[in-house]
Amino acid sequence: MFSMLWRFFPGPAWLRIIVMLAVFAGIVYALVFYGYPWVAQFVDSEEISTVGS
Amino acid sequence: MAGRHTPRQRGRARLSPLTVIGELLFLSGLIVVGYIVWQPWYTGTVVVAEQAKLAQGFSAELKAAAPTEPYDGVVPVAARPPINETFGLMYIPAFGSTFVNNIAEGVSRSEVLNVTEKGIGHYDKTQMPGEAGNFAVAAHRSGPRTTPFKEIMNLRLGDSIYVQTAEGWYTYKFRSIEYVLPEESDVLLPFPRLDGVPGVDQILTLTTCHPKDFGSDERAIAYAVLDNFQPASDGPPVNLLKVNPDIGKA
Repeated sequence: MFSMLWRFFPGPAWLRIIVMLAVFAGIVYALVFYGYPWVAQFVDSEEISTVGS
Repeated sequence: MAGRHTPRQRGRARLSPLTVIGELLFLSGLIVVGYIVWQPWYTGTVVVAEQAKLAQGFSAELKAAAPTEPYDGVVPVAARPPINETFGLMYIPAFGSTFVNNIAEGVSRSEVLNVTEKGIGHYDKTQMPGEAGNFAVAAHRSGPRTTPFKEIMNLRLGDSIYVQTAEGWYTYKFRSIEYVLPEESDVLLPFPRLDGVPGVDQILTLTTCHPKDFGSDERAIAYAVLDNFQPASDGPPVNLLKVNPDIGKA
């Protein structure tokens, strides 16, 4: 899969590395600002924080 | 020197399903680790900034709702709000000089404790600020949602905790912290831990989870005692303005 990705981008090795880093940064950005907040809605707090019932 | 590519022709290697599965597992592992890193960053930075902004607006609302009659020297009892409604703000400089969080009535998880706009909940069966007895509140310490009491262990003897309501500013001094089991609700009594004894001091009790980041097997309970009251007309307490000068500007 990673090797396919490597072959997917054109250009010399240094350019491929730069392009793939840029794509990686984009994915991380999307995860941090859209992906994870969306997932967090479904993760219920395990904390109770209150005493008694 | 035998190059890396000599054994198999460059780009000709067949994609083995095992390799793909391995790489996918690796990738999902990275994504999960990313979530674990993201979550405290999110609750610690983004939600805290959101609260500070909300608080500024709510502080102005409280100012507008301030009582019109002049202060007569008797600490007023804060009006009891309807359930789930935001009625005050809590400033705790020990949690960070700009720390502020809304306080809402009731400790429902879905309506108050898990909600970014609220976060701190007042046990509606306990007293209000200004009443002799126990003004007890709860908030999360860790988890995927808002976590106002994350830094509860930063409190040191004599640290100030400010509660702002429409009536004014109640300044509490932190006294002590203790760990209890979840069912020990006697920390909420008017005289904490002593059943049947009427409340004498005006106590603020913070309850949250313990241990931090590892579930809720125990509770951390922080006690503070009312030290001073300042009517809304006098503005924020000087000591709070010193650590957080922005409050006056709102």
